[in-house]
Amino acid sequence: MDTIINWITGAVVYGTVLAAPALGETINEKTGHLNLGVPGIMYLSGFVSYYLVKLYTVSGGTNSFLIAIIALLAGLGVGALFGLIYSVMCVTFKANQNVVGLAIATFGVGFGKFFSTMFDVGNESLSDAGLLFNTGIPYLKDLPYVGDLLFGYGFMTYMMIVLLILFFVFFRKTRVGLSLRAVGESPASADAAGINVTRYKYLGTIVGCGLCGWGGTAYVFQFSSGNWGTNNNMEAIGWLAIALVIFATWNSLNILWCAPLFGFLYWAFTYLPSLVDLTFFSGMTQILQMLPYILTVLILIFNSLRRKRETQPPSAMGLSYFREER
Amino acid sequence: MKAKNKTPLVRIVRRQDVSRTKRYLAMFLCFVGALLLSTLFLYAVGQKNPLEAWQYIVQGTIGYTRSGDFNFIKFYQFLQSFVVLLAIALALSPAYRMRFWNIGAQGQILIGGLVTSAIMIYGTSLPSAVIILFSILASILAAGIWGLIPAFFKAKFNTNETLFTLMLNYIAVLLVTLVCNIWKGAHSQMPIINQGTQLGWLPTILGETSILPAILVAILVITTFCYIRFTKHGYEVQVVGESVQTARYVGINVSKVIMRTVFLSAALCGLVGFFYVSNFDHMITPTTGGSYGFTAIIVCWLANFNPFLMIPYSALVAFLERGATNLSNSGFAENLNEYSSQFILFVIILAILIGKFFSQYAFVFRANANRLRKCLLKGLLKGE
Repeated sequence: MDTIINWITGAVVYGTVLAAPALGETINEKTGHLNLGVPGIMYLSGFVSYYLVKLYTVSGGTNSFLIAIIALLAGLGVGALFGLIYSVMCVTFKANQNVVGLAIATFGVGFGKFFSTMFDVGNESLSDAGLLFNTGIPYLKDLPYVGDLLFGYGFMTYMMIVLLILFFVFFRKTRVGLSLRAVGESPASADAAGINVTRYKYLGTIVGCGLCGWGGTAYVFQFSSGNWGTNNNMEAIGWLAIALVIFATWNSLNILWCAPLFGFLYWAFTYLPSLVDLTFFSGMTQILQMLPYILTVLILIFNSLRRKRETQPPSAMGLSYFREER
Repeated sequence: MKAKNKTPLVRIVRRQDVSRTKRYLAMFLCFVGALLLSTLFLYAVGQKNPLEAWQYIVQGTIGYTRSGDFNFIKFYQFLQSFVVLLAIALALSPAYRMRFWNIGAQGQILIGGLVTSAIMIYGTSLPSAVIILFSILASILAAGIWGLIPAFFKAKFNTNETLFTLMLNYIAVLLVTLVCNIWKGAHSQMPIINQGTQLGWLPTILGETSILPAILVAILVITTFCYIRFTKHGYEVQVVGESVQTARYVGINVSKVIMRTVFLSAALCGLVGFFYVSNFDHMITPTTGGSYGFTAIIVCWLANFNPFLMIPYSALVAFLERGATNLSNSGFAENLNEYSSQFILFVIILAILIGKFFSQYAFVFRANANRLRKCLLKGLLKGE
């Protein structure tokens, strides 16, 4: 029983790390921007939030509320900054989105490595901050079974659940959300309807990239409990987040169950052997880790076969919009 | 109450008939701006004379040993990065001309390398030349088929190829991790394949592994250029890239062209994987090829898919990377580590992209209505 509970809680924590960039990427893609820079954004955001929290705690700060605020703002800020660069390049200067995205992906990781070498952050663990990001809801978390399963997660998990639901409503019911989607589907029609395409594209990209930054924050503090040294998985999670957007068919409510599912698959190699009495051969880990990507490919093919309108990528995704060219 | 001025402050207007000189001038100015910005960065971070820092960067490629001889080791390291990057960019270009956004170069390289290492490991009873021949054929075929999967679905069902190839990258990485885990057995890391016998190792020229690939890539530059410019295949690729509708109308079998071109493109990437295993590293790891699969995409795009323009761009990337490593090894400034090239490259890439923008579009400010009229009129006269 304990194994199953550990497996599920591990999956939810992993899902939290995935959900933030997946939601951000969904917003990006809804505005017509396939932002491939997620891994880079996550990496640098993760580093900056780690480093700022470290500076704060080294200088004697212990206020846990401030620690959380610093970490979250740092992640959001770095992400939004990349979003700004991305939208200046892709919206105003009409550069190719794949090129700018890949540049951010590779060089964002490069910047992170540059700074972590420069400031010489070793494997020091910010265990207090890590604990803070993993404290469940008081009292409720002490309940047997249910406490661990439902109330034992850090605050970012609950924050993400609320955000995912809010953004689902936002994209369906609010004027701004509908306009954002219109910009991603057909910027020319949106423009004709009096929507300021440029402004919405900037808005969508900056907010989306900011949320991607939270993926890095969640990774450093919630997933690795305040360690920077264990960041080698972050890039893979960044790409997986892009996969998750497709898997969830651009619907933020689907991320709610898809993200933990990917987490479930990720941890399968640790927990499955002890549950099922199977002798695993050495490659089993990779095969299980491959599953999310393979499933995503299958979903992608399946959706393109079905041609159902709700499950298609935003139709203007990847294209620059120039008013005089319609 | 005053009526609100509805004219936007800045408008973006497409430039008409920009001469080639002007286009290159715009790019050049942006490039110079990027260099100045990078120099500022080197000064701000290093806190030492930035010109000296540039000197170390240059010496990463063209350096001299202590005894005053030309440092060939550094030059050949540069040559390897340069050639690999150029080869991948060239491989990608036919598919990109067709607007098939293959970002799966990394995966295709790994598949080519994986097949090559399998043949080198299991084919030890064969003579070296046969192993090499088999490896070349197998890596071309395997990577080609790996690329054909997304191409098939793109051609038949219009499945998004960017996302598909992206996923295939990670599947390939995990596949290589899996196989490496089996091969390395009790070793802590993947050993060098056939180290004693050197079976399946590509012969070297002058004892250097990067000269033969350099020659081959030089041939590839011209072949790619001719393929796109002078052959029927190349013509079909260009038509499909311009407009699928037109291609259908003139009777081009679009799915066939897509699948054929992507197969070629992926096969060439697989060949790069073959060179990694049989020539450069003599082993395979999940990180073989590094991030070159992605950097090459940027190079390919910056060069407008022009094989000759890819030469300076990939040289620039390789030059800066080697330079930053040299700068960091020289201990010139504590803070300038081997990753400082990332900043310089990022700034340069953005600057070139901005340069590209200004060679096609112009900003027109509200006050300058005359200029706007001129631009629009020119467009009208050209019948646009």
